[in-house]
Amino acid sequence: MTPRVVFKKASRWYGPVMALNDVSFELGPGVYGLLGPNGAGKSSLLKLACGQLRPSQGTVELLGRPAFGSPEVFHSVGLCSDTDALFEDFTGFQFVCALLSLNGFGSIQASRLATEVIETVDLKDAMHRKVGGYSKGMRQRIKLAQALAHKPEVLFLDEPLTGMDPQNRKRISDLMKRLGDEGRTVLVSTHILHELEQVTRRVLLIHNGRVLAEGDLGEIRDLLDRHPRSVRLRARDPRGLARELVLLPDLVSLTLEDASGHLLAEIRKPDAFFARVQELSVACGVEEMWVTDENLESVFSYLVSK
Amino acid sequence: MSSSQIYEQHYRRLDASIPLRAQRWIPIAREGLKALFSLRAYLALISIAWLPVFVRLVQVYFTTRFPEARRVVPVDDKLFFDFLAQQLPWMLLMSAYAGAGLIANDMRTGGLLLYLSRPLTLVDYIFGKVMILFVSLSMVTMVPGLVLFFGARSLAPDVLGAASHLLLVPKIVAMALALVLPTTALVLVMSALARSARFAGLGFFFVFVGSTVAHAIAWRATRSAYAGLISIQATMRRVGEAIFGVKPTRMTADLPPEYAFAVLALLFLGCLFVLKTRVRAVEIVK
Repeated sequence: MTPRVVFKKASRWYGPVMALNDVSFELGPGVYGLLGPNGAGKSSLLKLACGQLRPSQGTVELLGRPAFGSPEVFHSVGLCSDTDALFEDFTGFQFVCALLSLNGFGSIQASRLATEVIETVDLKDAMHRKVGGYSKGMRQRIKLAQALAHKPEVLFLDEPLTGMDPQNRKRISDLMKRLGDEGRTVLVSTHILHELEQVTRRVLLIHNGRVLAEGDLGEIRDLLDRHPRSVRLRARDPRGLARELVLLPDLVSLTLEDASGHLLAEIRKPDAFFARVQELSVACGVEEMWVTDENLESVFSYLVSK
Repeated sequence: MSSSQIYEQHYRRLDASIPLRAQRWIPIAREGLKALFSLRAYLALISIAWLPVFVRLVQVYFTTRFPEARRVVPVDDKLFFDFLAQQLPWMLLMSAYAGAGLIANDMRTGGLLLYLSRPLTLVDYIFGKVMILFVSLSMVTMVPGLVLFFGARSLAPDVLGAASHLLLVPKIVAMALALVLPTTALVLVMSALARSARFAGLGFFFVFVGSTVAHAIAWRATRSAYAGLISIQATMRRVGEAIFGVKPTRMTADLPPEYAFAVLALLFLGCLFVLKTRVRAVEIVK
């Protein structure tokens, strides 16, 4: 199958700053994750991919045409950007219809497509409310709706799950998977690894403007599991919990913070650790647990240093 | 990372959407105008700007009842020139109100991406925005000017009823264009440069009023009619005087109208060039 997004030795720099360096990859149908810490070059890559930036060197092709300067390809491309710019005085329905009209749809067809896509992102109850009054999660969903409304072949989604509650994260993750299964190309940019795991196994990791790794998420997870991760716990009986946790073979270190009463654990196999904490949650009164280095910064520094 | 997996192909792209359509700017202009017309303050501003039309119509009606009054307030080309010249402050207010945020808001919030991730070119976007302001400003210049003409013609057919007076229509249109087009382009440039509607509005007033003040100072210093070329208002007025064939003011009496026209045309084209180079969906931070 012909790849729909093709980067060939693409580089982009802003004055002396190199945003992307010699990036090459091809994307066919399916869902792909674009992973990288803040400042890695994800946004530049997306902007190059959707033709908003011209590559300083190399080529970027979208649906067989140069991405930059080919507005006609946008009949078949959807973009859900990370910017929060919406038409605040429009209702959700008017907003999607207005953007569909830019794609050349007449009002009847636009109304039908808008209603359909708003139902898909579960905003039907709020479709006639002004966008300005939407919550963060609703704004994300209406942005997603405008990207999907014209049934594009290629979708670029920049941090699409930001601000959504768990139920809607699940719904939108399922939708992204479905779009991939239907044969569309979906490139999802995120810096949260577990968000992506629910959607795809294929990822593109970038760091400092270079593609650091591409391929199956499992391999990345393996690297991650070997890399110690920090977990903070709050419990009614932190000492009792500590006594149990120190028995775990993959625990690297365990600290009881006197000031806060929190336990700070460094672990190698988070899944086994989380399962054990779950078992102990009632007995030791585990009230809260959070991973303190869940974003990819630490993983990347680990990968880069290897 | 190309895939060898076989995918289901449930969906089909809609046929209507392959080639780039003509008049792609129309939805941008339509949605922008729709948004403006939903604002009460905007409608109030237009309503107030139309009051002079009714005052002038009363004036014309008065002269039909008392023909001797035409010696004081003649119903001729000058009436329409004066009317359009007097609409200038309204046009400036309308420009700042309706135009200052047109591009600034999109560029500040990244909203330009919403447009440029559609099958549109930058030129379509700019033209759509130009049309929003063009229509808005025409609503306080060209449209009321034409309403005034046809109203006056029906009230005073003995004065304006002759077919030759229909030439006033292209004159009104031409002067309105001389007022509206450079103003539109200048406001949009300010909007693209300032990234803030407030600063764009202030910048526009500063340039417009500043050029008028600079003209006054330069004229006092040199007594040269060519000093008028530095004033947007003076050049607009001089072009209008030439179109309607009315007697020029003292400060611009010797200014050739074709020079004034050239200045306005250059201003318009220069602004369009700046817009084309300045407006970008992606901010490049160096």
